[in-house]
Amino acid sequence: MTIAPRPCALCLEIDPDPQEFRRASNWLRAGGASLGVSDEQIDRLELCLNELLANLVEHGGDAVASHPIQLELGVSPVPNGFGVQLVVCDRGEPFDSGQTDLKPLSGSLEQASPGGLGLLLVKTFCDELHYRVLEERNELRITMQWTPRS
Amino acid sequence: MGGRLDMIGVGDIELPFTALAATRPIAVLVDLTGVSFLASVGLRCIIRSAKALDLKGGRMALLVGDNPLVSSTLDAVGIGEIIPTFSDENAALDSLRNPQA
Repeated sequence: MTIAPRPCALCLEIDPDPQEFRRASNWLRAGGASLGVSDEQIDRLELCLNELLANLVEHGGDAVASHPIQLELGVSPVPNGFGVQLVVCDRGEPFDSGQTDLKPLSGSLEQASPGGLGLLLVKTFCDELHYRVLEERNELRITMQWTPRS
Repeated sequence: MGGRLDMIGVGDIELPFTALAATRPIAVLVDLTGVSFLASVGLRCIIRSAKALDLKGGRMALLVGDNPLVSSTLDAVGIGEIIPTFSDENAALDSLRNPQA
């Protein structure tokens, strides 16, 4: 029987460095498990976190490099189940990932462009994605929902 | 391939992988059954090598096996549309031996 997740939030601050991404992954996996998030959602959430951090380092501009990135993980009840929220705060160039129009690969290998696949994964795997700018910080919040099995 | 194909993991394998898989006109089966984490940087590495191999006159296929996380990642980006992807090794090898079949 799946245990209902406990509503609370966990926080972590990391440097904008790929070496730190694995620490963030470990934090997310341990935190998600402690909050009762299902294994499948943790796997997908870890991939989304990795893609968001990689995008920040690759495209966030110089401001990203000189400030830490704040992460927050929490769960809360939603109709018919639970939702896990991951919040990523940074000081990079403002960019609303939710406004990008991304499509899966199609056509021929020769014509295929491998750009934008990270955000496509995020938008595919999360149920909600919200972006806002707060006092010169970007806040991106993604949510995944699941129904505990009885 | 095995382990984590994130920015660090891909940095470790990209050069030897490209040297092995994309410099001669050969058939290449990329075994992803041991990959525990596949990020977009890993997908880009595979796609770039597949394109280079294609230009050399070779061809690539991907073997996923019973790896649900990697399968869902590949499905999400539609990689099967541009690189043949298989869960069964024999079927993957057959496709490389008989690309017109």
